[in-house]
Amino acid sequence: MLDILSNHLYKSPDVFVRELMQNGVDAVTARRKRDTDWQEEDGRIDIRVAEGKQIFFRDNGAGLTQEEIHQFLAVIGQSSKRELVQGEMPTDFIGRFGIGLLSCFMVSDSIEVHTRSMAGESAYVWKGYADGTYTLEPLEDAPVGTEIILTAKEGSEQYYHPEKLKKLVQHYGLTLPVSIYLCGSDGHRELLNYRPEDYSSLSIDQLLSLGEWLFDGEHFIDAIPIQTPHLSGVAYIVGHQTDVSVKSGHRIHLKNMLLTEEGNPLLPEWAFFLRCFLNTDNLRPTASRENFYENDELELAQQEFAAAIQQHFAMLDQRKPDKLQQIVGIHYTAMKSMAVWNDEIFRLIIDYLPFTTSEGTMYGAALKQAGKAAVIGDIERFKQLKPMFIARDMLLICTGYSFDDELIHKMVKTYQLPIYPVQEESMELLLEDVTFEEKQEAFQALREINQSLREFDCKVELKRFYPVDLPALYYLSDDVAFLRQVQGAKEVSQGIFSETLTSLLQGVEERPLACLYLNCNSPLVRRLLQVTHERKLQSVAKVLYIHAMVTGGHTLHRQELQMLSKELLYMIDEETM
Amino acid sequence: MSSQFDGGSIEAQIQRIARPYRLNAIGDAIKQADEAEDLHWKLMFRYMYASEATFHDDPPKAMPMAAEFAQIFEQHPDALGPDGKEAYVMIMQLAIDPIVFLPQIPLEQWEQMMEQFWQLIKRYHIGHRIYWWQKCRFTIYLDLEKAFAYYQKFWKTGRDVLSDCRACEHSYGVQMHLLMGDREGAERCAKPIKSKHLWFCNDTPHKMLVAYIEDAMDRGDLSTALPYARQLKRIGHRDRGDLTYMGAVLRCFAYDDKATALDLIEEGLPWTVGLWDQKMLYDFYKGVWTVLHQIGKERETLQIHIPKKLSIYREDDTYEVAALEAWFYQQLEDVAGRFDLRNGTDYFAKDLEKAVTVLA
Repeated sequence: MLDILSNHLYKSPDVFVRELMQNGVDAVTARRKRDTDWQEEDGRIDIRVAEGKQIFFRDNGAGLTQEEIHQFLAVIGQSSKRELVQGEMPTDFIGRFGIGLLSCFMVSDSIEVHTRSMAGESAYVWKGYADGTYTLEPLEDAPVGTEIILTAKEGSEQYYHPEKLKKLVQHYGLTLPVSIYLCGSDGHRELLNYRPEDYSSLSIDQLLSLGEWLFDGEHFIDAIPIQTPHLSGVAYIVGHQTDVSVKSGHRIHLKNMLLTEEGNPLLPEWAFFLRCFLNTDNLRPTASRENFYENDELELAQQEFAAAIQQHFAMLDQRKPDKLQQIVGIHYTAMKSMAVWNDEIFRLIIDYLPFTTSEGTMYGAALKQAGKAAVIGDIERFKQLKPMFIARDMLLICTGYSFDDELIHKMVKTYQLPIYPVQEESMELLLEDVTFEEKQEAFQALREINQSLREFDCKVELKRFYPVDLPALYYLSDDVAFLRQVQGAKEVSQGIFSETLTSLLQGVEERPLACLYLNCNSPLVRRLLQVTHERKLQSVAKVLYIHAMVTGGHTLHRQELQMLSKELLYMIDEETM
Repeated sequence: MSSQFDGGSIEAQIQRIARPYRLNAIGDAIKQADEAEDLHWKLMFRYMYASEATFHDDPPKAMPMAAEFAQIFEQHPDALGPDGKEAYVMIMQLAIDPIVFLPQIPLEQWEQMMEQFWQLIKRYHIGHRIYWWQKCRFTIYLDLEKAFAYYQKFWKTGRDVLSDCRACEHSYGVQMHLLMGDREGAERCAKPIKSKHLWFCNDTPHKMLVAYIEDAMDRGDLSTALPYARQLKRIGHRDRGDLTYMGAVLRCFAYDDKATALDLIEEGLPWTVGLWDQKMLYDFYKGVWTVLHQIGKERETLQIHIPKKLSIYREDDTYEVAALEAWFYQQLEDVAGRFDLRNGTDYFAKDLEKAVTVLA
């Protein structure tokens, strides 16, 4: 049981420092409450290290009576802080002594506790072992408070060094409300923690310097002080583009003790452009105290956080529009995500947001003025249709990238823009049928071309479309692409898997083909259809096929590249012969 | 070509693409990895594709990917490092998962696929718990008592790295207990989700909400179903993979909010075009049909945009409600018939009958 709790409840042995600090801070808080003469600054935690051997962790808090020792140290997971105050858990304690102390077994085979209660009893020494046994004996003398002594477990010696401890104390407890000192053997004491009283009173330069120090030299372009009923701290805007998958790298504290570096679940999905240094006093931690429970309080905190960011952006819009534009320029993906979620932020930044269109990148401001336009989500289709829209001087917007669909939809609704979706069937609407006579004239040539492209699972059709200088268009529907996938998989798999895939395709056309549309408007195609030399006709058709693939942004496979080289060689040889 | 291939940056680009369009991009990434002969990314992109298809698109699309993955992995078992075996068993699970909803695949083939899956589980000693859920999931349509026995086996088997998230597992519990008529048992399973102590994957609390809605609507209890449906409406129409959720919402909104129901139908119908998963189609069409039936009580014609690829499509977007209703009912009957024929039971016929009875 001890092994499970101490070695599996926590992700890393590092947390023993956090747990010791929590116990120390809680003991000091308890003494402050019970002794009204005691001053705020009287509370203290002193850490001493015998390098590679022992850690002495001492607080001058309330200490434990004999009864409390039996109650809280002898029973796994029991905690003095569980006593209810008027039916509720006290809100000024951050930890649970019993469980927390167990984490020390990750770095020490025994835990020695020297304690003397402020209630005036004599001092005691309690010694607990990883096998669950313990001893309790009176101690001749000790000051009021508690000292915990850990002895290095084999393989954990790295924790028994002043620099390592200093790093861990500052990582977890930088802003704890009790002074924590590292005491050297020469009597020198170094204060390890510091907490600004009010972040909003600091200048932007001070905030940025603090951020740089907190986040190991990371460069930030702006800092947003957060002061809400649930949260206090700073949200820093990083100076480079970040990825939506980045959810960590924050420093989120519960009662000034670092709880998690993960943004989830406190921070919204779009917060990946921020590094947050936050503290909360009233959210509930999970059992391992490595994150928060998702409850109504958390929801309120989330809303407060979002509102603070929104307010800051509104301020920038009014006073520093250049800064806002700079932020949006760098973090447009995160900004798009925010704009989808929040109407006010949408209004503030939509003009600066970039979109992919047939005219290249266009910003929200330009799209508002662009007039009639079409939108399409599928990126492959967009690539295929783009030249046709350019030829017709029509604007096509691609909404296949994250949040673009929702944002364009929002723009259409908000600003009444004449932007309409392109349906799947529009591909065919852009292609006009040729006349019966034209079809007849091209019959023989099309048959030859069809044969030459069979090896690429592609059929050929003659159509009319624009621009005239686009000789051919390659089209692969989603259905055909999937059927090809199944057929390919069937060929490489064996046994029951192959049989199942065969059943999947029951009733489906035997050989799904892509389509190469030849443009009857194109002089090149019209000339090609008159070629009677079979080999030459096939050769040019194959090159046109590659041309269409490249124009449509499709990936060329090795087989196609080899074919291109072969046909070009043929053309050179023909020329020189 | 291989020197220019950078799977990591392709993966990052894919993350930028919006959900409904991501599958095509992953398909393209697979082609590039194949061209570059990069074993790691050949497997990774196939795994991504199967996951994307399963959770956000059309689950049967995972099947060919799993077949290719298996073929490559068997030849190069170290290509993904020590975690490769988990990916392998997981993708096989994703391949078997949709068979229950593909009536063209015979029962015997599902059984043989399960046997092959079991061998894999034994080989790597992971996935036992998910195996029993797979057994339960299919057996629901064959023999409910037996399915519940599998469910109990699933619940008693220890969790491992391949287990579904706890919230999903509790949702399965809600579904199974409701199917057995045990509402108290369902509530026990639902409690940690409802109190938000279990809130994990993309489908929390969607699966639980669907189970409650279907159970209540099958009993004609609209007032119980409606709050669940309103909650599901807010969160459950993100992509093609949500068609079942949308269908459940439609069943309720048919009585409560026809305008929103029609918006949902117009949003969901394009996703049904070319859909392989026949259960998602069935669930969505059942909702559509319910809405049309209620509208038919008030009016004869209806303006609605239906995709051109559906055979009932009309260019002027104007339909006779009765004809439209009959068309969707016909589709439902066809799908239900194919399922029951394959399964050798009358589960879907009865399900449809329940929906009709409730309407009357």
